[in-house]
Amino acid sequence: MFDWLNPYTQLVAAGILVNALLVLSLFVVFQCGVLSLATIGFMADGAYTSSLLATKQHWPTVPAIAAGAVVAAVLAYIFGRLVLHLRGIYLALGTFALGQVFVLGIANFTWTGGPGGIVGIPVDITLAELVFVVLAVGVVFQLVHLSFVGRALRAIRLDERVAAGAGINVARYRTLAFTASGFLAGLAGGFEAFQTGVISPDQYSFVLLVQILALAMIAGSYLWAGSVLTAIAIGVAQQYIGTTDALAEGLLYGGLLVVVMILVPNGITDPRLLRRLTFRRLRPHRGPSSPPTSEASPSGASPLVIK
Amino acid sequence: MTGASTVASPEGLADVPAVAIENLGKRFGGVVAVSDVTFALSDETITGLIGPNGAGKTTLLNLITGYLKPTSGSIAIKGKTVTGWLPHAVAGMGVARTYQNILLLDSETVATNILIGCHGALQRRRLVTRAKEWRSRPGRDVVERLLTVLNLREVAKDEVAQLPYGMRRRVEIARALAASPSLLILDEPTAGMTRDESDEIGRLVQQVRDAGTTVLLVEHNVRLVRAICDEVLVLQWGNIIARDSAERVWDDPVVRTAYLGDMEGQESETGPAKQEGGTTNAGA
Repeated sequence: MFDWLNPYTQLVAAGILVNALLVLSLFVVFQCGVLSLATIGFMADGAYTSSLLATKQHWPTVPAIAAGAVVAAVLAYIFGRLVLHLRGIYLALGTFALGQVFVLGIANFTWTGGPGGIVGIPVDITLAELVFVVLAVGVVFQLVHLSFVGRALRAIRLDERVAAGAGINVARYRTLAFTASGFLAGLAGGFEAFQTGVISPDQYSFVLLVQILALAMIAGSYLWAGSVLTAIAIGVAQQYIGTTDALAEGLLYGGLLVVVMILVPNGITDPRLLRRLTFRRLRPHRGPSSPPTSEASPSGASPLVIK
Repeated sequence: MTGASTVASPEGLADVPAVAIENLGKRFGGVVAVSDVTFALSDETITGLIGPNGAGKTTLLNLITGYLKPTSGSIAIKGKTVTGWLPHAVAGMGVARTYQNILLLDSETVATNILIGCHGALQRRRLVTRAKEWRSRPGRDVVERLLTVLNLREVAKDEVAQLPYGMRRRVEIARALAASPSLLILDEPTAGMTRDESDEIGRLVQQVRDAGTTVLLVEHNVRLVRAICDEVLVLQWGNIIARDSAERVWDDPVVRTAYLGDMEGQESETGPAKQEGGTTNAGA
């Protein structure tokens, strides 16, 4: 499907899409107000699970990647229940520690290949497959966004008290989001492993975490499409700046993050910004408010048929 | 945890009060906010909860709705003991409330804020129903009705942060009603509203009661309390000092002393009306 692209471009595009999955993995927890820094850890879990299954158990690629994502999700569910009762900076630190424990653990076992990692992972994921997966994930995100689940997640981010008062089980939704985050990170890890054929613990680094975090901050936590578009746009920009220049790369991420934080603190998909851009009226109501009137109800007798 | 004793009544569910509170107490360190409160609300009535500032009214509401855990006593809703339950679980029992200092999702639209109130009903639907009704944007019919009833249609797509105070109150009430609650708890719903607005809210609350909902109303507006409440509870220093009909409760000398002030019982009844005039000007 993407044969018209040269192999290098295909590899770069695949890397960008893996990043998009990682940003989505952060988006899903940001959406309900959880600042998770465990994503890279779950990515490593997914990558190692799928790679070990493929190289040692000779599993085919697709089931191996799926298993990696599921294992990451299960770990996210189990450990999420431990850290998700924390709030604010403590939650961020808790998830950060969690992610690091996974990466360090992997580096210190012999059956994972230790610091040397795993080589000889079959490289048989095509760009088309990756595009398909990102689109499928996008469709799921869109359905969730439109449903009461998405609304509940957004409500939790905006005000937990309101959410709880409306019957939204805050703890359950946060765990759900964290599990989904683990799944997506595991998926991204698996795809990356089967793209490059080689993985080692040091690639799941703090630098990668900061890059993904910057992308997620720029993208904001309202629309999933923002995450994908940000990952693609900045990934492409990076190709023009050149990946070898660490300083230029740092300036790109750091500079963009600062600009976005100043101009649109909630990211480029801030609903307020979107409303302004789509020219929906945003008029201030300074005049006296009109009282509710009985005439407004057509039936008149009993406008409230609540039961 | 003996609050559910009412379930045992042989007459069945008809006798189970919407809320039954027994010996409820809450202390914050050395401060006793609510002490040994016992009452039950009869179905389909409006009960006013009044008392001077700091009497523990909001604390009591927070205890009932699960935002605070009581230090003693028990709460039963529809005969089921809910002591120590989290707010979402209490809401699942059919309890909806508004807050004294309006809590809304500020960056969302009015319609979305009301939709949040439908969460419980949408969540309870079976998966098949959800799939079938997905295209019809479930909950919208409820929102449409409430937009009309509370005269918010014009601002349905506006961000709630942009709205004036009275409208924000109405959005909150709409959100609570969207849950189709069997117990509606309103914490000063007419604060900051004009006289016309608060009269309209009063009529609305009566309609809600007539539709079969029990209402617990915390309110400083004495005129409104007199006009719509079937019964009034007076709270002072965390204790219920009087319970009577809305007409008779003011004749109680204890209530006069505690709530209306020592010297000018009769005159201060007009006080809230004056305050209302003040807020009208401020709001305009």
